[in-house]
Amino acid sequence: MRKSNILVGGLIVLSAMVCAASATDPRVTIRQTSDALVQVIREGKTYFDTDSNRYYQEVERVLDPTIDFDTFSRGVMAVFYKRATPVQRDRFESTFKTGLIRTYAKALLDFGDQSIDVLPADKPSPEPDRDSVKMEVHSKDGKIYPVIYSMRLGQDGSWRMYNIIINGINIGLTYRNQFASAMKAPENHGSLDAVIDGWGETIAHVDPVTQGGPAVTGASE
Amino acid sequence: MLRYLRLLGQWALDWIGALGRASLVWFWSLAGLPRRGDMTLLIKQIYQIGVLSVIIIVLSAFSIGAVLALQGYTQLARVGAQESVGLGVALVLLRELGPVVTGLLFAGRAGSAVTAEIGLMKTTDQLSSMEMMGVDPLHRIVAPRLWAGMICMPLLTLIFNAVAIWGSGLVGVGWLGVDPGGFWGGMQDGVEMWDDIGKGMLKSVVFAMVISWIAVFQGYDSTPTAEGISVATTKTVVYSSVAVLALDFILTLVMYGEFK
Amino acid sequence: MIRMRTLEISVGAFVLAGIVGLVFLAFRVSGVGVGETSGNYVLKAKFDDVAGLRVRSKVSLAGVTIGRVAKIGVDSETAEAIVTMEVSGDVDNLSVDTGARIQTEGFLGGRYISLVPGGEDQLLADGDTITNTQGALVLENLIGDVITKLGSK
Repeated sequence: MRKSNILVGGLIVLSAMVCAASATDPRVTIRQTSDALVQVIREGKTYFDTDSNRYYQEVERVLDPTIDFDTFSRGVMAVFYKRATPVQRDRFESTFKTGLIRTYAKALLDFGDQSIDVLPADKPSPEPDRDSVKMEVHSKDGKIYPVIYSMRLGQDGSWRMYNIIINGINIGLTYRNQFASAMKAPENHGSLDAVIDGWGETIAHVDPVTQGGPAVTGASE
Repeated sequence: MLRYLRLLGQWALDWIGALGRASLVWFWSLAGLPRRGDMTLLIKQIYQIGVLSVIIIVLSAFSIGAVLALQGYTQLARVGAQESVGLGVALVLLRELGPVVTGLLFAGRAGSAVTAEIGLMKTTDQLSSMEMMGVDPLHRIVAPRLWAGMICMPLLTLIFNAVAIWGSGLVGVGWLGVDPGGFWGGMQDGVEMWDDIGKGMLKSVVFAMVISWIAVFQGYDSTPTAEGISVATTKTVVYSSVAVLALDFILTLVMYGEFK
Repeated sequence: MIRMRTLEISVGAFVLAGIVGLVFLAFRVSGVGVGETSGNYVLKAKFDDVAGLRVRSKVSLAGVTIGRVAKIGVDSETAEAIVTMEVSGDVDNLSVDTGARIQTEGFLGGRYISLVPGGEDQLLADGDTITNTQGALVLENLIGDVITKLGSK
């Protein structure tokens, strides 16, 4: 009786230790993804002009496991999510994913291989399954662009991003407003399908990476 | 040279002496428990000082409110911000013009009347007769006027502010066509109970005490001649006005200023 | 000489006029009492920049004022502003991913918080913090750029 007790106790302690070890720090995830992305971008610069699709696919390959497109696109649809059929939700998620990757892959070509600092956490996150990771991108001309990733811990123990804040602009919220405006636009007649189809056009007008607020320089403004 | 210094010193001592007498008057008027008949005296004075001032306050308030709305509208319309005229006028009135203009008007109308009245009583020996009969003139004559002044002026300021803002509304919304939602809504969004109304009322309470004190003292301390009364009433109006404006500056600095 | 009775009545009326003036100022001019009922609940929001937002600034949903800013504090560890809002109890179906943006009212207008509802099922409860936020200032640049872009099309 006693021996089996010790055995069970030992197993419990061991599995707890294993769990703790495998509970990843979201910063680690971001760092790994950024490093992988830097590789892809460096190579992408060489063949982008001839084969842009390959570049986009490579970027998607790296980003897919790190971005929670389900939550991200749901946040963009916001109140309209409840009205949408599962088919429409899936359609938007894939349209949104393509749009996001295209927009930022392009921007990454200019900025992405610059030096990136993943900042340590200011303080532990109040919630166990949510956290935000701060990053600083140093551009060629010395400007520093702050990026914040909103991360959440999935069932499988991995951290995935569901919102980005670039240079102070909340991308998810901005897209949410774009989506709502599109739903109200007369040419769409309040149709979810029309808005989903026209999403590519809609986000062409929003390019915060190159046009957003003033970059935070090292010195005071 | 030395003569002027001596004169200056004399003047300074006179002034300090007056301040001392004024403080004594103030203290002894307010000290002591209220007696029978005090309420009647007080009500009579509130009538004389407050009720009879209402007309001039209301007329001035309406005019000032209307003019502010008119001028404000013209300027703001140049940049398309005419809806903010409600807020602008309200803030100016509540914080500054309300207490100050009411104070100046009060000093001119009620203050000088009180000074003249008390001065006349002194000149016609009514005050000394009272003392001989064992009645304390400070308690029967001065105190009711002091208290009435302190009660009436804040009330008059409230009436002034309300009428002026209402007047500005009539002109702005009724005549100039500012959108009422923007006019009143903008005002409500921007005016704070304590920060604007409260601090303005605090100013008016301070002014009330000072004006009442000056008016009462000048009357009580006046030279008992006809000329003396006229000098005293002039002093009341001048001193009160200067005091109100100077205090307003100081209070504004203290309440709203940001010290770097 | 005026009779005592008339005197008393006029003094009473005078004091009453003052009180009416105060009430007018309090409710019609300063907006005290607008939307202040029990049943309100508290929501917090963290912003990177709240420039211009004041206590008693309004909180609106779809353009309708549904609350007021009660307190503005700072979290020095994360360099964020923490805004405490009092929201009307009638609005009780805000999802946890509701967005909070700081916007400017008109031309000379003050700042206010605009709530943008989200798509999650879970709802915000009393005392919860909104993390999906958009701070002040930056939006002006963005709008300007969008207008420039649309204009140059």
